[in-house]
Amino acid sequence: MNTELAIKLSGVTKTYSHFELSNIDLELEPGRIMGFIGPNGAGKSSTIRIIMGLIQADHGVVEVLGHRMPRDQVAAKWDIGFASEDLRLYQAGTLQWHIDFVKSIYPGWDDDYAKTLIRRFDLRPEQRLKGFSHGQRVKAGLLLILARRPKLLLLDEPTTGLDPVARHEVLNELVDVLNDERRTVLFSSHNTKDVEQLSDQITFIDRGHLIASQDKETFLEQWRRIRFEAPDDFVVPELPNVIESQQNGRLGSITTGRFDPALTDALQINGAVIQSVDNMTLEEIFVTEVRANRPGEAA
Amino acid sequence: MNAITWQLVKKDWHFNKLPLLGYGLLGMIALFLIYMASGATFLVGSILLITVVVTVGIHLVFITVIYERSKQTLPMIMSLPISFMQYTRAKMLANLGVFTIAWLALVAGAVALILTRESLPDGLLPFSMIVLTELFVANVLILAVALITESEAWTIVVMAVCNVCISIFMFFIKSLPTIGDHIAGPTAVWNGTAVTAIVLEVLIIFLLIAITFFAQSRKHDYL
Repeated sequence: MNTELAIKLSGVTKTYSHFELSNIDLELEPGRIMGFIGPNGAGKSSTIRIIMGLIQADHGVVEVLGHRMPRDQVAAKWDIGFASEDLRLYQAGTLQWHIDFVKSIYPGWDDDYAKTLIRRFDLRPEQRLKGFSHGQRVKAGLLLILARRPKLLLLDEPTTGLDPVARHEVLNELVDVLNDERRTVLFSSHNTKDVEQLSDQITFIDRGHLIASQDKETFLEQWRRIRFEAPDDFVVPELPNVIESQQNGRLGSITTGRFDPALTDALQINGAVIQSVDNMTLEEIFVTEVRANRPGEAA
Repeated sequence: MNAITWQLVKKDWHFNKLPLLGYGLLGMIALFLIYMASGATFLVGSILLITVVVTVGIHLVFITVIYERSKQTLPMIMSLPISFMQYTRAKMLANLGVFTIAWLALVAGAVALILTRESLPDGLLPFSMIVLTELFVANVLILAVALITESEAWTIVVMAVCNVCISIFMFFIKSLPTIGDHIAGPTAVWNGTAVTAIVLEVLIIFLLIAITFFAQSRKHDYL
């Protein structure tokens, strides 16, 4: 067993009647923050639940913090903080009841940190969860896992449905939490801006398949969109590492996931005039990756 | 039982303490009615007591098992360092613990009344015990179906069937000559039929609990 990795998935497959998570290989080193990006229904939640031991893969091996999952889930879950968009707290309970409940289970509960989070999130411990807004419920859920100081955080769409102010507060707190270099985080979202802000490693998933996984900086450094002007009869030549190419009259662009100046040279040799070589946002990279990997959608 | 399982049991009781208090109060009113009155009031008290016991069981099953899934609090519980079997054990204890207390109060009340009131023949005791134990079987069955199927619809179906079957079961037991012939008698007759019926019911209770744990142990997905 590789105990150096916080998360290791090898050949993980899970088949439902309407969906298949297919041959997932995923590795996350301790102290790293992985943004897990995919459209709705891509398999993010299923993957995270498999990592958490809440559902069992049909095939493949899952190791989390050195524990085989789901077999050793009880031991692993002592050190995992799990927040999910569809996880709810007890409406009839106050926040203080929830704090006392979680505190009674985890001996490592940090009371001072919990109080700090209550202040930062502007929560009222004596209030019942029934009266909380969605943003307050999300913050309360994060408080309950962060004050445990878990080694691994699995955050499944934690910012979904939050208003901009609540989202900003939650993300700021997560940035602070993530400054702790010993903590590993897997953070799923379909909002690439959130992921870009927090993560140092990015994984894309679509229709149950992992389509890319790299350092964020590598993604942002290597992906480029080259815009050019060319004669009407210009045909984009066959070039290596071109993910997508488009041409509309005299204007065209190619998108590459591994930029090399030789690409612009090749276009120029064929008669194109380079207008710009643009960096791409994570969202643009993600959309291009998804389109390129969906049958019949690649340009 | 480990500490976390106990915390889960306490959690279920905590969120149901007010309804349970209400049921306890109704149960006491029912026992008072049965003890104090005769005729129609006695009947009202008996029906109220049986209703309270049946409702306590169903209420807890729905709130602690069915609603935990439909209200999406189950992911929070399953993210705690527990196994699904510990979760199942906690649900069994939380439900059957409270139901057993309510059921024992019902049994104690029934036995006391039969033995102390002259208007009630002691011969009614075996028949009453068989019927009361059937209430326990029905509750364990409803709990087992809720845990195994995780389905509100199936639980409601089984609950309805159990309630209909109580009357049929009472009629069937009464129709057995070895039971029915002694109901109006001055002494309780614990013959082979009466003892066998109760032993069978107890065995069914243990069998249902065992089946529940077995079915839960076979599950791969807990959400």
